[in-house]
Amino acid sequence: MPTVNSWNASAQNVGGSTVGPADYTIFRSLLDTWNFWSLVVGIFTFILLLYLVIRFREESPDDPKLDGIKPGVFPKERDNLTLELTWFIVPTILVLYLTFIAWQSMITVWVDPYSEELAEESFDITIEAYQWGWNFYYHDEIVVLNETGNLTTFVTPMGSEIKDGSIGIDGNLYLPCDTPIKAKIVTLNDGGELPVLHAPFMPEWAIKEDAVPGLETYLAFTPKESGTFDLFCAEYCGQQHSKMLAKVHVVGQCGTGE
Amino acid sequence: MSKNKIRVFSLLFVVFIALAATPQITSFPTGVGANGNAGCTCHSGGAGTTTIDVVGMPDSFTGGESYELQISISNPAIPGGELTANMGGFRLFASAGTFGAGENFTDLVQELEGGATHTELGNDVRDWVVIWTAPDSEGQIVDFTLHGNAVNGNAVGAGNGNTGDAWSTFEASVPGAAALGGGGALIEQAEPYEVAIAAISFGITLFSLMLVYVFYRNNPEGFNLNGLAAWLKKWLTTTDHKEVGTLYFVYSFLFLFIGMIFSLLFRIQLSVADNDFLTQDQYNSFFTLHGTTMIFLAAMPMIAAFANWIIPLQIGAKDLAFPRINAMGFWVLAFSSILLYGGVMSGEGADISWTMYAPYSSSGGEKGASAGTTLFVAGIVMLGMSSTLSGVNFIATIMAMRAPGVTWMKMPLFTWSAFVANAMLYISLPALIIGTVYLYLDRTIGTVFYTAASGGDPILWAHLFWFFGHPEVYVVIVPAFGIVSEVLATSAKRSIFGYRSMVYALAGIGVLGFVVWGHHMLTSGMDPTLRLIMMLTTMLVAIPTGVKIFNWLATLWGGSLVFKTHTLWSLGFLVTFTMGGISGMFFPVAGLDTHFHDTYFVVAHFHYVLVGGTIFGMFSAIYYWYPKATGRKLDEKLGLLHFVITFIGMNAVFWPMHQLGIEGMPRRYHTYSVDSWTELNSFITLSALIMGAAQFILAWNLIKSYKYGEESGKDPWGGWSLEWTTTSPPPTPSFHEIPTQGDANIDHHAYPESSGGLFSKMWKGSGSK
Repeated sequence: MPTVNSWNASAQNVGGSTVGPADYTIFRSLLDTWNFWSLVVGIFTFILLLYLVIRFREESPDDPKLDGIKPGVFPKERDNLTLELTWFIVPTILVLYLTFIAWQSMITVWVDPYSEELAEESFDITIEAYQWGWNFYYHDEIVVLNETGNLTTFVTPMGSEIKDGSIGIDGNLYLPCDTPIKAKIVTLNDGGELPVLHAPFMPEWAIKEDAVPGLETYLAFTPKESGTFDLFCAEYCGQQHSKMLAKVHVVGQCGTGE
Repeated sequence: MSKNKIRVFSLLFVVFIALAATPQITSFPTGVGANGNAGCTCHSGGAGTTTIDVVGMPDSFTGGESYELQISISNPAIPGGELTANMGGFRLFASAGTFGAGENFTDLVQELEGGATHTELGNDVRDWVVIWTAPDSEGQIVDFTLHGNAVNGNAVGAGNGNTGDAWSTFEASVPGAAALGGGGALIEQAEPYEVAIAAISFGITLFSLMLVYVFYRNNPEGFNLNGLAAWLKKWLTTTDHKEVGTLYFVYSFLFLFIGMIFSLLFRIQLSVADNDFLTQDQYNSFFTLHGTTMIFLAAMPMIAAFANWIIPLQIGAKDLAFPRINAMGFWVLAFSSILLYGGVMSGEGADISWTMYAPYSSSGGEKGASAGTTLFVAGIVMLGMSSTLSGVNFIATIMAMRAPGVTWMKMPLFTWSAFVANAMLYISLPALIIGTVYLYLDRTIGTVFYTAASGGDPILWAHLFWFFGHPEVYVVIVPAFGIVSEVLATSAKRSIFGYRSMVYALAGIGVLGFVVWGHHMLTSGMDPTLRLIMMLTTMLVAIPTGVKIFNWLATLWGGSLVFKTHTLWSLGFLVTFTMGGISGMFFPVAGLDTHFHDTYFVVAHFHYVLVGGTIFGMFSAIYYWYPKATGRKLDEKLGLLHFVITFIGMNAVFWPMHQLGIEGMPRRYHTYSVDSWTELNSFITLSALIMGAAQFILAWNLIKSYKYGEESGKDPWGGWSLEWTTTSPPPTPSFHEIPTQGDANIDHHAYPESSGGLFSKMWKGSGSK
């Protein structure tokens, strides 16, 4: 349960989710690897294609037909064991290698929500989706003090009284910096609401997970830079899907390392 | 100019004038006296010094409820206290709802169309009470404009006396309860619907005219109504595989353009941030119809067209196995499109996207799916029926009706690909049909298959849909593989490299295609174990696909490549499909997919595969087999122009979407508020318009070359399979005598001894069956 004893940095809108995920996310390092191998495969294929198209273009219009092709006759078969095995085995090795790299990210982004280790240190929130907006509930507190030690902001946990300087009740999400966040995702279920799918999507941390009626899903991530970021709904949910937006404010001092 | 022509032109001119004048018929209702929209101009005093107070204006309204609005105006410069008559006036407009006079104010307030104003008696006070009854639809924002006028009474007994008065304006916007709740403003506008309907009607009219013209050109002397009826009857009742194929082709081509018009309309909407060219409802409905149209009404029928035309010719059969079921399959498809589009004409087009995710798609009412969705789902069930009918037909034909010499491993690759595709379709379709029938029942008789609160399962739909949906995207790409295999081998004047590994790769894709559906659902709350399995299997799909791409490249090696238009499309396919294949490798990775899922990166990927793959393959097939179908070649110059613009345009449209995806732009968004996305989006829209316009070159080429194209003869490109042994166009039935396919491997004693490939050895026993 974090109490952040440092001056408030939330006012500085540094960073920005409109340029994609933050540099420290696992997404960035994976994207670099995948871009690299895409370029390798792509450039190899296209240079080979270009070479073949130029080198083996038609020399003269009455070039004799190769392989004795005649209408109605199945042509002479051509194959080459070594070559075929090469382009069966090399891509297989590459795919296995990429799968190996990808494995770790699965553990990072799909964290076990019932893990006790996570439960001890995490800042717990509930994201409740409805048509068309979000409710955020806090199960822990963030207290942010300014330089002189006076309380500046205070996140209101679910059920607690609203105090001076309270934030977290304005429809936006407030998160502490450098603390693992565990978000439970549910849909609003009050009878009057239509239970449909939604998906909180926070590009800054490259994560999303569907809100499914009748199911609890989880997201886990750790903000490491303060600032204001976007939260979109990524699962089509009807008329005003594109207006189902909120801001995520990461407050407190970053870089203390955890 | 003949008298007739003058009459026709005069009539057209009159119709044009009448159409041009139509929108002006609804003009703004005028108020009391000269009170217009600009305020109480009956008194011409200055504006601005008067204060207007309105008490009782709600923060948000509930549909159908009445609200009491107390209007009072004051102006210290024109005190009303001493006056007894002619003190003030007001004029209130609202964009929705109805008005009435408040209690005790029936003499002072009167209703107007779209608003309320004071009566002649009401001129003598400065306070009025108006009752506003809210509209039923809560999903909107009602705008109020109130003009109030403080009058100094000098008109009493003194003529018109309109000096020294002052008026001002009060404005308010009241959202409905449904328009609140985190959602933004609802955009009210109706024109693009009319554009879409007009474009479709215009297209159908042009299409009918074209039909009559084609009939006329067939036999200019015999042009009369009886002849036309008989000719139409022949086409409506035909069971010949070539004619049904032509019906499929014309149908798919028409819907290719309709789907394109939808995409251009919503591309215009997306061109700049915060655009309001389309309303949310229209946008949602248009992208739904674009996706469904392109997959089910354009790509699938286009494949069915070539399968119909070419499969019997390639395997040496006189017709398909079940000609009447074949015709029925087409007509079920044709009528299902009426159901799919049924909602559009009433402004209630289905808005559930082509994936039709429940429980949104099974809901109704104010915030649920639109009313047209029920018809749409019924249309999808019919589509499933149509595909089942045509699928069983192709499978039976290929299994049972091959001519002597056409053994399984001596079958042209297009036929092989059609076989694999239809087998996949046949196995996967039941999941879609079951799913949509559940959905239809949920919508109509209140079952709860997808309703969590009643014990249903929302994720069930996603599983059923994608168990069908992922094989489905292979169903539309695999025939393109077959076409490219044929075209590249023929153009390089060689046999295909590694025929056997090509067949195994096709079959491998066919099998793997069934165990990867979960990669569409990695963020859907699905079981983590299933996520892991689907991630591994999805990675594996790259291997057979890679084998195919390298076999195509090896086919070119040592060949003598001619650059006909169909060759260009197939080479273009190699480039764009490879790019689409590579970007597909980004999705099974957990750390990448949690970001890319439902962003524009996905949109870029599947358009590279479906446009750069399926559509390029189909265009290749059009240029390749058009001479076989008509006896004339398509124009190569127009073909080159069409290829160059489309290839560049396609990359210009879809490549920037990768970047938008990385930056986190979600798909299916009606609009966006991030200004930095405008630049790429404007570029995409501009490119899309150019690329769309280029498709008319193909349409014109098809029409022009039918009459004026270069005559082709039996085998214009030097292909080997049996369709090139028959005349162009082929007779009916397609072979008078069942042909026998020869085998160069046996003739030259080159098989099986010198054929050293792994796959040849594996197949040695049954290869010469």
